[in-house]
Order: sequence, then C-alpha cells, then structure tokens
Amino acid sequence: MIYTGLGVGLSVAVGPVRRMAHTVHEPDAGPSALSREVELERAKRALDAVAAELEHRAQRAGGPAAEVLSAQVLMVRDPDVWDEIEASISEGLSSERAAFLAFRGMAELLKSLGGTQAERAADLEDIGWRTVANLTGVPYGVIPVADEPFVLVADDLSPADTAVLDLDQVVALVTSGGSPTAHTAILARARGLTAVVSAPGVLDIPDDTVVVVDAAAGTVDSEPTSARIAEAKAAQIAVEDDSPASPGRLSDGTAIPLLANIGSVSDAREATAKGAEGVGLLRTEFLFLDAAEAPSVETQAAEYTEIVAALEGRKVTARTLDAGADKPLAFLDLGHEDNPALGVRGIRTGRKDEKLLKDQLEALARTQAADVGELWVMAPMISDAAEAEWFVSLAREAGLKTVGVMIEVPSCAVVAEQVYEVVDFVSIGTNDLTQYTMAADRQNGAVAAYQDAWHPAVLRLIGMVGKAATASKKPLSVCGEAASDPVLALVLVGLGVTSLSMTPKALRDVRATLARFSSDEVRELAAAALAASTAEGAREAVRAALPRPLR
Amino acid sequence: MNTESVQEDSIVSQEVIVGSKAGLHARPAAAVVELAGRLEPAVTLRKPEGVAVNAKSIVKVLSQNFSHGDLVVVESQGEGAEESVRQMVELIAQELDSESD
Repeated sequence: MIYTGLGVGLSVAVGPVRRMAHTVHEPDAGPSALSREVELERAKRALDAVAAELEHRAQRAGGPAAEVLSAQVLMVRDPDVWDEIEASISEGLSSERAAFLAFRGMAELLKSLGGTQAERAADLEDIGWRTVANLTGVPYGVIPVADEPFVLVADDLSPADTAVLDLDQVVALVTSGGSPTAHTAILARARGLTAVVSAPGVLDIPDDTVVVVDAAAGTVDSEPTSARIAEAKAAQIAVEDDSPASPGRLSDGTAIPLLANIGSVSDAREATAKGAEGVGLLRTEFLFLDAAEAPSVETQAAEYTEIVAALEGRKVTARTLDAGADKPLAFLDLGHEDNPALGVRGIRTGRKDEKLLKDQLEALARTQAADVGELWVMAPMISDAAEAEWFVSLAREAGLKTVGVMIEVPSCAVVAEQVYEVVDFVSIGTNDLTQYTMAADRQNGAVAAYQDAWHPAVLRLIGMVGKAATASKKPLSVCGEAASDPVLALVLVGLGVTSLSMTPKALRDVRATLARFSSDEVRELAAAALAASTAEGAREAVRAALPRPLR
Repeated sequence: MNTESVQEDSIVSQEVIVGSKAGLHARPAAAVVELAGRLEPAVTLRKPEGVAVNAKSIVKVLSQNFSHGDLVVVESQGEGAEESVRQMVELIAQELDSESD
C-alpha cells in the first residue's frame, strides 16, 4: 500500500517501521478506591516527575526547543490547574482522572481562542497524557529503540520528543499529522532527515514492516518490491557517502561550488566538517556589535587571519561591516530613524564613517598579506555601479585583490551589467533582495507572507543579475536563505548562479539534489518558475516540472 | 488568626499598556508568570471589561490573549499591594521578547 503525504526535501530512505508508543488511555471516570490524601499526594508526585523530565529535556535540547519545553514546565506548575485537580479529587475522582480533566479543560479553553493559543493547547494535552502515563505506569511518547536504524512513525512529534530524537537511529520520519511548515518538518529539514508529514493512515503500518519513504514524491510505500528497496538503499547510501567529500556539481559535471555562511572560528570548523568548499559569506559583525569602541586594525586582522587559516586554503569571502540603524553600534551614533530598513545601513554606514571602513579594509589586507588562504572581500547593500566603483577603489587602495559587492537592492540588480564592469564578483543576498523587492519589512510579522524568495519578481531580478554574470564571465554567488532550499537552489543555478553559500547543515541536501540534474534541466526549471505569477505558483510549477526519476 | 482586623483592604488597581510587540504570549507570558510567582500579595490581570485572572497561571494569562497595545488592568489587595502592582505594571510595559535580531 502507498500512503501519500507531504514530503520534506527530496531524499529517499528505507527501513523497518517503529511506531511511537502511546499506550496511555483515557482514565476511568469511576470513584477512586484511595483516600483523598493519597490521591493528592500521587497527583503532586506525578506532576513533579513530569516537570523534572521536561526540565531535563529542556537542558539537553537548548535553543528554541528548550524555550517551548520551559513553557510546558510552567504549565505543569500552573496553580489554577492544580486547583482543578484538587477539586476533582475532593469530589472522589482518581488523580489520573482529575489530571486528565484539568489539562483537557485548560486545553479546550485555549483551543477556543484559535491562533497561537490553540498551538499551546496541544502542549497542555501532551502534559495531561504524560501525567496520566506517569500515574498509570505506562510508556508515553517513548522513542522506540532498535538494533538497526528505523523509520519513526508517529501521529505528530511534540517538542519534548523531537528534542531527544537520536538521529543515528532514525533514517526517516513519517507523521500522520503536522504540516510542511510545522515544527516537525522544520526539525527534519534542519537535521537533514528524510520526512513525509501529514500522511493519513500511516499509524496502521505494523512495526517491523520495511517501508520506502520518498520525500520527493511524498509517499510511504509499505509493500515495496525488492527492486524498489534496492534502488532506495542505493540512493540512501549515495547520499550518505557523498556527504563530506565531493564538490558541488550538476549531473553533467558543471561545477557549482557549495560554500558556507559563517560568523566565527567555530562556524569555520563546522563548515569544513560538513564539506563546504569555502566560505561564501563571512559576517564580520561579531567583532563590532558588542564592542564599546571600534576594534583596532590589529585585533581585526588577527581575528580574520584565524578564520581564514581555519579554512585550510579554501576561499573565504568576507563581507565588510553590515551594521547601521537596523543593527546599531555602540560607538557609531546614527541617530534615530523612522524607517531603519531604508536608512543608513550596510555600506551606507561606511560612507558616513569612512575611517571605520578603511580600517576594516586595512585589516583584511593584512590578512591577505599573511597568506594563510584565499580572501575575497565584498560590501553589503550597494545601490548602483557608482557606489560599487567607489567601494572597489577603496579596497584596491588598501591592496585587496579580489573585490566584489552584494546585490540586495533591486536598483543594483536592474543595472547589474554596469556593476559587473567594475567588480570581480557579485553575491546576491536573497533575504534583503526579497524584502526590498516586495516592499515588506522582514521584521514585521504582519507582512511575513511577502517575504518569499520564490516570488517570480525576485527570481526575475536574480535572472537579470545571472545574465550579466554569464556575459561578463565573472562569478555569481547567492548567500541568502534561498540557497539552502534544495529545489530553489536548482532554480538559482538555472538563472545563472555559479556558486551557493548556505548554513553548513543544508550542504548535504543541496549537494545531493544538484547532482541529479543537468544544466539544461535546471534552466528549464528556472523558466517554469519565472513564468509563474505567485511564489506558490512558482513552487508548484517547478515541482511539476521536476523530471520524474529523481532517484 | 487576627480576624478582628479584616479591615476592608481596598483594591489597588492600575492600568498598563502591553509593551511587547508579540503580546503576552510565549516568552513575555512566561516572564509575567515568573514575576507573579514572587509577588506577595498576589496580583490579578484583566481586560478593562473582563474578569480578573490569576497572574501566576500561565494558562489563564494566555487565555486573556493580551496583544501589543492592549490595556491590562493589574490589581492586588492587602499589605504591599501597591508594590506588587507597581512591579507587574513596570514589567508588562516593557518589551519582553529579547530576540529582535
């Protein structure tokens, strides 16, 4: 049988099913055989145990998962929930029933409000079941263990579950609930897991059934032929083996160097470990943002040199300070701006305080002179060819050899061929390019729907820069989030992008995806995206145009 | 038990506008609950036309759906009520979501 859901990514995986154990049942509504005091004590102990477990998981998880878990701990300790439990027990109910009713009641209260509150309702229900499971001594949300890697099948994963997922054991994630933008899918993407979400019926697949999970097709095959299993295994191994070593290239051999976005020495180490062929974006802000005064040329040079050396000969593209009214500096007073996204930021800060920029270029030139690796330098937020020329001349004066600019402002994309006449390379920052093209503030949640790099207007601007790059035979990189979406990466390459820079975690998926398509194929995919009229339409057009045999 | 001095402590009440862009959800709500847990006498929160809820209860605070710019009535009663209300008002007026990058 083939179950259909929504795939996350394009990979394929095969393995035996292990379902998440949820053996806890709704507690009996009858009167308790125990005394009120005993039941109160049991409820208190169970809540303490649940809180302790969640706190423990929060510590292990860190990051956003820890925050969700800490909020759950507050819910376990909620005095109003306790009042309800106490009242039910006083009426003669068991602590199991009392806890079940209290958490379900509170969840209903939040559910009725919709929106963010409704999401928290799921957390309350989760706590209720955990508490009941603790009281009745049955497993709840236990990630199964097995001797061999398995396909984890669940209704949906709670934050508490995902935080402790051991990825060495899980080859794929399949859920009957959830959506591609929800928590589970985001986690799967961040960790490079094959996943199919929102696939109804998958919980009926018995444990140990060998299934093929195909994220590209969004299917889970519970009766795969042996040929299909062999094919899937081969694809899985190919992806795994490919991981750190091979450089990015298309199926016809066209090299598309895959680079990393970094902002520290430790990032640099992660990047090389994950197989980055260099750094497409070194954010230099870390030296400035918390500083009381501008770091000296010596300090900067030492830091940059350490990072370039950590890349062991791979190219490093450093971006000059990208601060301004949006990311203020303690030592540079730019005054208040009503609209910082359109104000003094990026290279405009350097135009306002030229010494700051010149010092940084001097420090970068010293790093170049130290000769520990290849260093390219670029400026953010360039508006046109004249501004690019001004920056290039300053950088050349400092002695820098390879100098480029970032295209994030639509005006600069429109005159890209003029820009290419004065620079050695260009890198597109898709996040800002999208914000400025769509005139939608990235920080404003109310207009978040506009912030989608798949929009054909954004893609057409990238296409204009791509044409200019091809004509000038100079490199064009993309260092925004768009490069880490494997399917969008295909479109970008089809538009003329020659290298992609992303968070190191995304390298594996993008590498594996690029390797499946030729130059002609990615150009066709790009054409399909450009012809759409919405971001959603562009996504669908490309998905539909993907040549079928992906594996 | 000094029941003789059940002097009708008047309710201390003060209005404050929610300063957090995200409203009193997630992190800001947690901050409110954490402070409430330390305040004696306890404080309640309500919308101007609403029913007061226990500020120590994360579920009840979330259930009020306080958004950015909403008016919140903070109330307390008993010795030290002014100080409890003052601290809570001060907190709610702030931007409590530190993640702004």
